[in-house]
Amino acid sequence: MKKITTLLLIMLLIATVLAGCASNTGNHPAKDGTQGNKGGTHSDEGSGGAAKKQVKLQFSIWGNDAQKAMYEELVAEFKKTNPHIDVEIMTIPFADYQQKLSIMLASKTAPDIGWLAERMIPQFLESGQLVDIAASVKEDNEYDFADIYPSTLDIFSKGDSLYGIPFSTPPMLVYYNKSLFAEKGLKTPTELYKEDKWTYDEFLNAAQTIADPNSGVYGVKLVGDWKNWSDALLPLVWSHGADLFDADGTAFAMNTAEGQAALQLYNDLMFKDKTHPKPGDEITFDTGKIGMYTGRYSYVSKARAITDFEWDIAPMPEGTHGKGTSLGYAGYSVFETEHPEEASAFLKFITNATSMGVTSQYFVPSRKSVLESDVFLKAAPQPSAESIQLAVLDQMNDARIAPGHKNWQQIDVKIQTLLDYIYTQSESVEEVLSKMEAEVNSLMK
Amino acid sequence: MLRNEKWYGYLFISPMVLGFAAFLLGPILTAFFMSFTDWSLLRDISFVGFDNYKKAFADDPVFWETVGNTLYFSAGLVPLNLSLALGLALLLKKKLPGIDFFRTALFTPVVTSLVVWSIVFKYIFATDAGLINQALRILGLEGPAWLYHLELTMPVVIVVSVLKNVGLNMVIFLAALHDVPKMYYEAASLDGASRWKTLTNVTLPLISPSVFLALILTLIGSLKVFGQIYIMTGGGPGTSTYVLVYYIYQQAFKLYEFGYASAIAFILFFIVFLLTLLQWSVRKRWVHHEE
Repeated sequence: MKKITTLLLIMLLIATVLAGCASNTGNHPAKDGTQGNKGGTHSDEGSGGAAKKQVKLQFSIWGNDAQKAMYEELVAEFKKTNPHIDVEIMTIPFADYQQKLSIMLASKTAPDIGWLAERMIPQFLESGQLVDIAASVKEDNEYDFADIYPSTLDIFSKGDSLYGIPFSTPPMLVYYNKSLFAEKGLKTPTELYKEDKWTYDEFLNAAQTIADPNSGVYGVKLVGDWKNWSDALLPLVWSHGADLFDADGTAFAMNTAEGQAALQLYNDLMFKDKTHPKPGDEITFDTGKIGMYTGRYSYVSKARAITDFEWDIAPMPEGTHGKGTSLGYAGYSVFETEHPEEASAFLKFITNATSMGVTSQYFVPSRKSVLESDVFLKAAPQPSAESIQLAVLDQMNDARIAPGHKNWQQIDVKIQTLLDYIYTQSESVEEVLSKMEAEVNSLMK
Repeated sequence: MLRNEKWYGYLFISPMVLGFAAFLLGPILTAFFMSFTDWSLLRDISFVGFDNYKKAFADDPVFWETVGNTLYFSAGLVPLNLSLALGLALLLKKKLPGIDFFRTALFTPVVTSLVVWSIVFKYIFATDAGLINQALRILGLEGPAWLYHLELTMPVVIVVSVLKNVGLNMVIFLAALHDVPKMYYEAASLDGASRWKTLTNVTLPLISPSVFLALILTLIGSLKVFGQIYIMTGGGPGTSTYVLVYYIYQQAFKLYEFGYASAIAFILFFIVFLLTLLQWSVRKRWVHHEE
């Protein structure tokens, strides 16, 4: 008996030590790296006597590998003119991004510069953890600040101060499987749009025609990530004439007849028509088993890798109150850092016209000169310049940025939790909406 | 030179004691202090006395639901795990050809990463595309939404957790069974005891110290469940699989309420402490042959 206990204790100890090591190396590789490099460069300075102090910046993104590789090339370009600045790219998954960044800022281990999405900005702006870059960008003639669409800067502005530069403003659009549409002899969304007939009725009709439960083919998928209800549902809600919050952003506004109709439609797609994958099912558009997928323009980086079927993009369908196209939004901000100057210099470099031309292969640029240029329209063979014109450029004027709130995290968790009662079919849409109204309102004070 | 032997003793234990003090005791005491504040990343810290504890007990229905779910998880997992582990140990005790293969197969999940295990089972239990429901479809049945069902999801998580960890207790029981002297079984069979009687009157009393150890470890582990919940259900659907550690995680790292999260962590500490104390006190009644 003693032997076993001793053995177990030893095993337990080893396990604890291993677990400890793992989490240590897992959490702070970047930091250790920085310190190690700093040590190294200090000694270099001693012997060489470089003019500027070597600085290492950390740059956080939630992008995929292709986007990371693109930034690595931009960083190499940046180093040619700024040899004393190293930039390390750090990837944090989107679902954890805001919380991880908040914790890192509180513990002073945050990156120096990084991406922010519209829903994250109010919190960080409110807590004063973003650096004002207004002077740096506005007084630099070469940078050409006036080229950036002023409407895309509102969310980053507070008085005369400016806390970031947007780099991606992708409208929500429909990716459709051209091969499936051809197989069923359906008119494509692009054709219908040109005839001015691309409505939710046609959308639902196409979904039903394409769906084939027995072979696992679905007509439509609105959801990219089951934990991100707002991207999936806002266009549907808006196109039916409802809204998430009221005009002042002080109350939940979706508990109306229009809001009910929108959620009911979503519910029916999954459980009545069965043309939408079930909650939690992770089937993606690139498998070829989805007729239409509503996503952002940035998904083209994945779609371009598709080889076994043809696809294209089209605008969102027209509802009773317009298309309700939502505008995604991501920008770069400089966070509380010891190197605000170097970080601002890097921010300016990656948002200048040339760099934004490079990033426009994945991101809808916020600079007029880039958006309206061939660099963006002809960045890749697919989608065609015509489709980009129809589904992206022509939609920019009417598209809306999703609303934010400083308590977004709480509101997000609450709505996600309550939507589950629709997903489990245990409560009706009306019941869920009236619960949402009561509980979200108490979080908005 | 240190003359006194006692100093050597202190010297030898110092790495452990210092490490414990710096990385465990310190944070624990800090957390205890934090549980009396309203510290959040979004505002300045201030002392609020017992408000966090009051909120948990009186004003937060989700907290009570969370406590209920945690106890439900433990009540489901512990008996299932222990009885299955004992049954498997009894089956695998015999020295048969190829028996090592089965022992290894049953132990492998224990050394597999919990994250990998949970992700795989999340796919297996997916509603339309999942392995189980696909198999049911071949038989002409429509399976339920295992992970999107208010009553079914917790049992699914329990079963997945049992499959993951049953091997560890099985190994403990196997070792204990091998320690039982053969002569007791001979005596029992001479007295004409049935196999059931032999099990309840010979085997179980003789391995009771191991059962006790396994019980305490499994119970404490089950009260601290987090990984499989975080990955498979995210506390959902609704709040039906919110367990205490998940709730602590959510309050602290998603909603930034560190003060409230610390208070719940201490409530969990007392629950574990009390349950362990309770078992310790009734141990004398059923644990025999302790060395």
